[in-house]
Amino acid sequence: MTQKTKKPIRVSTSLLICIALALLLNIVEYFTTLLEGSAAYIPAAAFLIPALGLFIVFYRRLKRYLISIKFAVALLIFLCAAIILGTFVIQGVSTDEFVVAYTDYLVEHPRLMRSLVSMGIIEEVTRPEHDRKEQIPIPPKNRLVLEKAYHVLDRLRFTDVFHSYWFMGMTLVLGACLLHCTLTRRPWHLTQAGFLLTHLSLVLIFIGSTYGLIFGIKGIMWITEGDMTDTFVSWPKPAFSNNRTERQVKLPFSVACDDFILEKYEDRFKLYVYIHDHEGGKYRNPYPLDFTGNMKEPLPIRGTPYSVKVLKQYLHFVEKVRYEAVEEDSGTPAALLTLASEDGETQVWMTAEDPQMSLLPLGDSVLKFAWDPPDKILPEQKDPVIMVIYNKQKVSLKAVKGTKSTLGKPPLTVEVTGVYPDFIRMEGKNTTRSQMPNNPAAELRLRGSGKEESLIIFGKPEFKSFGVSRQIPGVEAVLDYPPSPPATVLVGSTSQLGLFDGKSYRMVPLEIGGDPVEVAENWSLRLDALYRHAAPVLQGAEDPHVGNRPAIEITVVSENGPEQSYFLVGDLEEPVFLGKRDVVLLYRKQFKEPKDYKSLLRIVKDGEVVRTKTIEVNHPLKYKGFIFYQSRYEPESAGRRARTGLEVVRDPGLYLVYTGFILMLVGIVFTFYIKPRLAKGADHHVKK
Amino acid sequence: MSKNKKRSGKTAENTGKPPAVLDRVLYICGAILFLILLYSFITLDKETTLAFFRASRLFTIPLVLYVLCTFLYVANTFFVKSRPVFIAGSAVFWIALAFNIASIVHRWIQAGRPPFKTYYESLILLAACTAAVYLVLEIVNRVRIVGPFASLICSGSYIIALSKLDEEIIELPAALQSFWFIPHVLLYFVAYASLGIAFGSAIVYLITPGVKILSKRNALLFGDREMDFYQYTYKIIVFGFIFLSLGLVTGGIWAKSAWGDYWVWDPKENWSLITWLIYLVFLHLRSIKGWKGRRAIIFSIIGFCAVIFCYLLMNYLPTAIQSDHVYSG
Repeated sequence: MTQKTKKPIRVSTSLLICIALALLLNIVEYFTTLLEGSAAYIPAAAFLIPALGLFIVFYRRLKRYLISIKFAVALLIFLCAAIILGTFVIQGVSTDEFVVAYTDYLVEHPRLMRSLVSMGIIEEVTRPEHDRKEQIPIPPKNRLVLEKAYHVLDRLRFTDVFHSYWFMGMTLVLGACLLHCTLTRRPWHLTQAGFLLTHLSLVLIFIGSTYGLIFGIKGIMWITEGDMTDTFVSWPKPAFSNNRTERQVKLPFSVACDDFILEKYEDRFKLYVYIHDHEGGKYRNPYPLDFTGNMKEPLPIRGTPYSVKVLKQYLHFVEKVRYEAVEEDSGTPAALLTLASEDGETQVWMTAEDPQMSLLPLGDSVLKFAWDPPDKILPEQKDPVIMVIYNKQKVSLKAVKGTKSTLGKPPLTVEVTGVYPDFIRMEGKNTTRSQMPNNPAAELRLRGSGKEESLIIFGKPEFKSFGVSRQIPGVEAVLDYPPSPPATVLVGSTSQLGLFDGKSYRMVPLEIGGDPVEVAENWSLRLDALYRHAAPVLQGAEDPHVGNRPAIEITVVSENGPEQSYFLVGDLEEPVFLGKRDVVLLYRKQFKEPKDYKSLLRIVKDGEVVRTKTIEVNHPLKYKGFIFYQSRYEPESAGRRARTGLEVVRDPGLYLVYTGFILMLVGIVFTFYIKPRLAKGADHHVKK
Repeated sequence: MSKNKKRSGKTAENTGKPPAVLDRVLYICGAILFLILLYSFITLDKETTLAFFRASRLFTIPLVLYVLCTFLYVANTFFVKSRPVFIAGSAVFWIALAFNIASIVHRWIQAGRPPFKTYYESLILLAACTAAVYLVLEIVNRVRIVGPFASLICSGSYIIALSKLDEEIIELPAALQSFWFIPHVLLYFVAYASLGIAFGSAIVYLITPGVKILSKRNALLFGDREMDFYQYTYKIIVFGFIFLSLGLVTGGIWAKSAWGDYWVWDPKENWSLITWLIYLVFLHLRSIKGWKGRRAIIFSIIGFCAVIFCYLLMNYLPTAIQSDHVYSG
């Protein structure tokens, strides 16, 4: 009678089994996601119970696979391929994030993009030149292709490989193989110690990590400096759990943050050069120009036709603008004035054309600088006027307190009892905030038809309805308030400088360097300089009042063009583009990342301080199974104290995992270095 | 072939003539290696060439010495095969290693922190580890045939470092300020160095699987005894695998103390696991009938490709932005 010979297990067949099993698990997960609540466990149960039953029934046949080294090798190759997949497909993102991320990726890798474009799969995209931080516009065709790709990958759970049923299931199968091959090697002897240690250690690592995953907890705790809390937000557990939502977890003790310390590296500012690599499509790593001790000598930017001359370094930089006379065909009229008030003197430049530079608020009035012959200066400024309409009769009143008028039949008396250029109601009274016509209003007293009414009317058209009387029918009042405040205009002409106060024009000759002239209430001005044609020149100055504000003044010299000067302020980080953006200069901090961030924590239980520690990255605080890691922070900002973000972890399986690590290392060394010596010794002994 | 081989001294096989095929193969390999080196010099861009003149002496001296060493080893391995030239090559290798280590120590003092952070610094470390591992192997085994590969890795690292020259010393971010920084990085680079040398040995195996010592000249390359290159490759991989495992474990412990989790499926972590798994498979293949030998060696070459990808090419991954480990630039 011949014995049935079993077909040998092949690596290729084992691989196919792994793929089939993975597909099955993927289908189970798909059905799980369609259901909610407890019903979500049904597909998993529907798979596991029969699978377990079949496993028990066919155990003897399946055992061959579980102890087969070929099957194990196939499983390892499968898991390898799965992990590789997880590094090529961006994990744990939404459809939009997927589309944006891969679009960015293709832009950063133009050769790959060009090959896909040549195959007609996508359209070419480029980053916007004017703002490289702006999101890249995605053509509809590209969006469609990427969304379809995401849909397919997501259906196969390739967008979250490491938390997918199929990946975790195959890892479980690997664990089962390890256990089986270890147990079937009995009886064990010393030379097998390495084998046992390595394989059991991996099982221990699986058990420890799974135990931690199921029974552990992880979350984030934000504490404001000086505050205390006993709750944190736990993160959702991955897969095989319906607990996929964040939740508040209460600790049996409180954690206080007495102080948050942000350590920074010394503020060192350098001038960095970025050179565009046209082939790669991005800027190469920047390098700093070393100009210390080499001021004013041009520093060549290697590989480019540019050199940089550093003219001056500032520690407390303020930017000042002054005007210089230029040729007659260009420039703008400019005047340098010294304005004096109760608070002191200040010197300002005013120009006639720039709206921002030609108007200067002086208390409740405005100073305007214009350059025109006197008779064309300004239209006569209007007085505010109130129009009252009563039974189709109209009357205009000056919006001046005390003005009265009577109109219509039965007679209606209108009296202006108040005029408010910037109306506000404060402590039950109507008043004005300033003389600037920001919210003009007038108060009227109406008497007619045996009734009396106080009416507030507003100048802004959106408040027109307030002008309709509620008590006296047929009465409507409208306030017409001119938009500009009483203004004083500094007028320049070819021969003189004068002041126009909005009502009457008076020419007061102003001489350069002459006596001050009163220009508004409590304000006087003196003319220091006057140019018909002037252009602005930037100037840097040191002003310790502004604090630490480093800056440099540079001149860029080009082989082909004129010299250009720039002020580069470290805090602003405004780049200077040279050529066609081939070269960029940026004056910035050398190290922006903090050196370290620490939180001084105090654990309080039942009103008593049980533990204090200053934690930092790599040095967490452990208490009662919870570990608090320095994870994030929000620095102090205007009106807000600093906040520290602590990652809170409880991992009951940690020591199992660490034990597994140690056993694995010992086992590997034993297998490859001690076991051969033991075998040699035994061999030698046998030969003897 | 006699099994009664002494470790040193002449045997019947030592005095025989080598087969003509082996010499021809060696000449071709030598020519290819020369061309690779020549090509790498010719195609250095202007910027990289200029960087040579900007770099400090502590960088340029080991670079020149490693390149010289490569030429000596390649020439001697594939063409000259002379003991004095081998001794000279070894001496140059040792001197280059000394300068390499000196440059690391100097950088350490200058930076005030271990010089293992940037791409440039890691390449210098890789060269040092490769040279150290190879020279120890050379003393222990007297196998010099993998010398050209080792010296090529060292000079190649330095040439790539030339194009990635650090313009300034960068400070360590908070996450890297840990006791585990030094052991984790060192263990991994010793592993990479060992696996790189094993790759060279694997190539030799593919060309000439089992070598019998047939002449005094060949003894210079292959050691004084019969060399089975599968076994030799296997032993180096075992050594490298232990360091890979140590690196993985120290990385996990460090991640736990820094981030609260010993494994976060970071792309760099994933590729280090992939590398570990590939070599784990290799180590198991010798137990599978029909998979020992050539097939297993090809697997080890795939493993080395994973090492290269993990170390140098992670930037090209779409998921690189999600990793804290990827070198920038």
